Amino acid sequence: MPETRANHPALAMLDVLDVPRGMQALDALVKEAEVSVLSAGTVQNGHYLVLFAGPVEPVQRAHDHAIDVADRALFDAMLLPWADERIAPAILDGEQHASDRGDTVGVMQVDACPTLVRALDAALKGALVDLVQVRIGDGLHGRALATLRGETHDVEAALELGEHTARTGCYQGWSAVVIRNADGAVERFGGGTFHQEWRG
Amino acid sequence: MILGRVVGTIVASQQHRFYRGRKQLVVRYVLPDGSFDGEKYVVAVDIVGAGVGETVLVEDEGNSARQLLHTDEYGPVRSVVVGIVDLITAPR
Amino acid sequence: MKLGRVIGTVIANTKVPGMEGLKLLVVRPLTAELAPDGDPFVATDASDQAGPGTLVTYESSREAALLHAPRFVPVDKAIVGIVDQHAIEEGS
Repeated sequence: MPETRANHPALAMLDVLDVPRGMQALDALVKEAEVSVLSAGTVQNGHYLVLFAGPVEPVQRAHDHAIDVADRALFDAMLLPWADERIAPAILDGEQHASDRGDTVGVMQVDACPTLVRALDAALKGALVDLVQVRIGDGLHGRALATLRGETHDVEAALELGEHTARTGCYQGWSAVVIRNADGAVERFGGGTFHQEWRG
Repeated sequence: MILGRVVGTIVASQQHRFYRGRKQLVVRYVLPDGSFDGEKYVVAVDIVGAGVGETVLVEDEGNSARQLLHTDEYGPVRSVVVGIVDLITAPR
Repeated sequence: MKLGRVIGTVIANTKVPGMEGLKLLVVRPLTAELAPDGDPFVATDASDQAGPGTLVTYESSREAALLHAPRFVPVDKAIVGIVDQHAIEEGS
């Protein structure tokens, strides 16, 4: 019996230092292979992000070609051939998703968006945790953060796996905490913005 | 070596680098009379061009497998299809 | 190699040196037709991308440890790859 995965198992992200070079990389990657661009555009610190998905082989080709084209304008990049399915939707909505798994909240942050996404993938696959929120560069001065929830030992393991992965990428600015028996205030406000504001 | 019949192929786009580009076959063990030996099977690297439905010989030992694939002592492989069987004659 | 399904994760805060930062996954062994076949075991992931629900190939014993080379990881079961497609021909 054939066993096939849904159409877009692979997920890739580019973080380019300036908008013109970012747009050039976007154009190059879509011309290189047939992939699905989930989103592309500026973030608050003036970088240009591209998030794309598809079958492994075209995403790999598009990713590799875009890195060549961006050259020294590339800040960070990542490719997950078999990304956890929760990640892309959560990146696109950026919202907090309620969870009642366990009572421990784990939060991780790093200065490079693609590295955070890779770290998150490792974290989600290595422990039983819920993904509460992912914010990729939206009003965070180029940083990215993710909030997880679960039993204490699972959250600790998830963050350890995330850090282990982040060390192989842009590790600058890595910060992670485990909040045991998280108070309702953490649940309510979480890693969201102070003001209700337009997502930058 | 093990007698088996190729019942399928594996396509794995995400795998350890050693296995990228290597054809992998699902081989169910058979008894000399050709019937399946319970559920026993192995996924083996193919180096003889065997296809589904063919009866094959599988070498299921690491050192031999590494030599057959011309890899050093770190090659993480154990099972290799080494022959396609034409005829089995065995007393019942 | 054999086929398996990842059904969970294991957290072990106390581990021997060499196992830091590795996912530990619970894997249920499967037959060639993907039916459950025996007791689940714990494996490391040498495919880098496996997680709960994934259909995988895995190796055992010495070859499992070799999958992590040059890093020395003292394990006896490791996931090799993620199966995209597994085509079995009935009656073959």
